[in-house]
Amino acid sequence: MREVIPAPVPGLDLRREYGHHQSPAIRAGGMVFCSGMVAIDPQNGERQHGTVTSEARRIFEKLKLLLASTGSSLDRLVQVHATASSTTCSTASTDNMFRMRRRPAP
Amino acid sequence: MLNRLYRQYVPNAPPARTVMSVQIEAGFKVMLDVVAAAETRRPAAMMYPRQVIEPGGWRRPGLSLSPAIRAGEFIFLSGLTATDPATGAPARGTVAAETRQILTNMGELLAAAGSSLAKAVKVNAFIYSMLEYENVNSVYREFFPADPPARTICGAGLIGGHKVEIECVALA
Repeated sequence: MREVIPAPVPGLDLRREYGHHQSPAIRAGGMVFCSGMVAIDPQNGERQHGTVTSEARRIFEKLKLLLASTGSSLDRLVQVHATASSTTCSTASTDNMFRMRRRPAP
Repeated sequence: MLNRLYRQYVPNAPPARTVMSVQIEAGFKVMLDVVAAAETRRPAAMMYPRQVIEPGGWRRPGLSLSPAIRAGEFIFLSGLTATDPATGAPARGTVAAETRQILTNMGELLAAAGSSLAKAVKVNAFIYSMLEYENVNSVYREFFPADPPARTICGAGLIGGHKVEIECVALA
């Protein structure tokens, strides 16, 4: 069975806030698959740009909310894709920003 | 920085993880997508042997990947780029055209595995430039008209001159 998990708070619904054609999360086969999450205020959907640390902290707090609404939690994560903007990983020129490579973690 | 915070939130038995440097929409610096166990029982994917799904037209000798793997209740698809399904030759085109070809092929591959796009639970899409985001989205909506799967899209360097690559996990 495949079940769409609705956003537990308005700001977690990027489909409603930004028109992204995606569900916040899908529960299937005993697993919860979450959409990629960025730093957005969970209450009102406003973007919350900041440092890498502050954006990541906001994302983790939202993930806690979303996973809790499914009966899961951060303790039960089995896989994480962490993506960081290349502009924060290097001092690449603007040209290089548009020719990025997927890089494995060191 | 990210690692230090990561340890705070995920201190014990850390999950499998991949870190990538990509383009993220709207100037954000970080994006996380996760898979979590929903229940205390072991996920079905861990309880059954894996089975390679490789329909006739999808065999690519020399490539060290399977088009799809069935494990328990799930089908895991490799990242697909736009190819002619009959010959396997690249079918490069606009971002919209490549997206349409990929999702058409994806539907056929899932059907061969006994699944379908309607059973997709998670899609990861990579675009050569996030400036083309809406060109992916407009085609994507046609293939997932209702209850779309969870999704992550980001900009990344793609091999072979392709503009789009899409992978997915679906229920079997």
